[in-house]
Amino acid sequence: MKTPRELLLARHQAATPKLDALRRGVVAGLDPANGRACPGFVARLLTLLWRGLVFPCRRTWTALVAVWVLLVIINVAQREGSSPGPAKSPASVEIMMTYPNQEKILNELLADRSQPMEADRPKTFTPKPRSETSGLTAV
Amino acid sequence: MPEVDEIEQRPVTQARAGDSVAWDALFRRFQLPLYVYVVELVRDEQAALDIVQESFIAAVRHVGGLREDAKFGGWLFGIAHQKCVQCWRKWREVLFDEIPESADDFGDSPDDLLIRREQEAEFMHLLNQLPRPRRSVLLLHFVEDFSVEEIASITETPPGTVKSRLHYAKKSLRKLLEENHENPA
Repeated sequence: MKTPRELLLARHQAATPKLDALRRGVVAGLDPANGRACPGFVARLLTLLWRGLVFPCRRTWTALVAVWVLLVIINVAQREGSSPGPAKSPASVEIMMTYPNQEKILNELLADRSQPMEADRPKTFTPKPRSETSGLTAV
Repeated sequence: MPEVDEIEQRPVTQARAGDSVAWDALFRRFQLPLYVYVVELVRDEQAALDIVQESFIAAVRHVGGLREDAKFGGWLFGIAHQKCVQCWRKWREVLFDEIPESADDFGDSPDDLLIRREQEAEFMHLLNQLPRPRRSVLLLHFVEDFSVEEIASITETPPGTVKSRLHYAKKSLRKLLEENHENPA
């Protein structure tokens, strides 16, 4: 005869080795210094820094807020400076400088076209009397 | 549940101070009962092992929230119970059945119910047939002999509901065992 407890524990007794391994794993993960679960070194260091230096210090928070506000102001100022027109780059200045030259060349070309060149001028045609007509008149 | 005696309380005090040997002793004391409770609820060996492991880790992390060292066992089972509930929710299964709070004849010791060898399979079968809330209180009663108040605290259920569930669960078990006793196969 067994009590329900004895029966239940006996029924699952086979799980003991797995439970032992599981328990050892959890205990091995404890930080020997304070018995807490041991996180990674970097995470622990960051947590310590956060808790020790950043979180309780009002000056740190004030400095962070000031830096953040400064960044926002700089960002807004840059946007305002660049928003009215396209940005002037060195390339665009060069193009603007070459523009008068190109205009001058274009004007010259256009001027030449308005006054036809010598070779293109139409020849003045003056009809001459035909020879027959001239012979008849001579008769 | 009988409170953790002085010998068992000592590891709790030492564990609070960060003694890994004390943690090992505590976990060794509760690992099998806790596993039995969880595996009989979730009916999945791997899930039960995961829940036991998570419960141990949570116990280490939150031992500062334990008010009385003597109630370490109930507190640990409460953590495991919450993880079982989360597991059930994950599986989208119905958690609770509401039973009218009427029974008040709770008081039998879990050891009053004795099971003969030929009844063991039937007992386990019937236990598995019970709805989860009844099975939960019955397991807590059987495995660690928790009091109604302790079970109510672990399962976050009113004590009257715990009494009722326990009453009906034990009644069903007794009925089965008596039937088997009168009409042995």
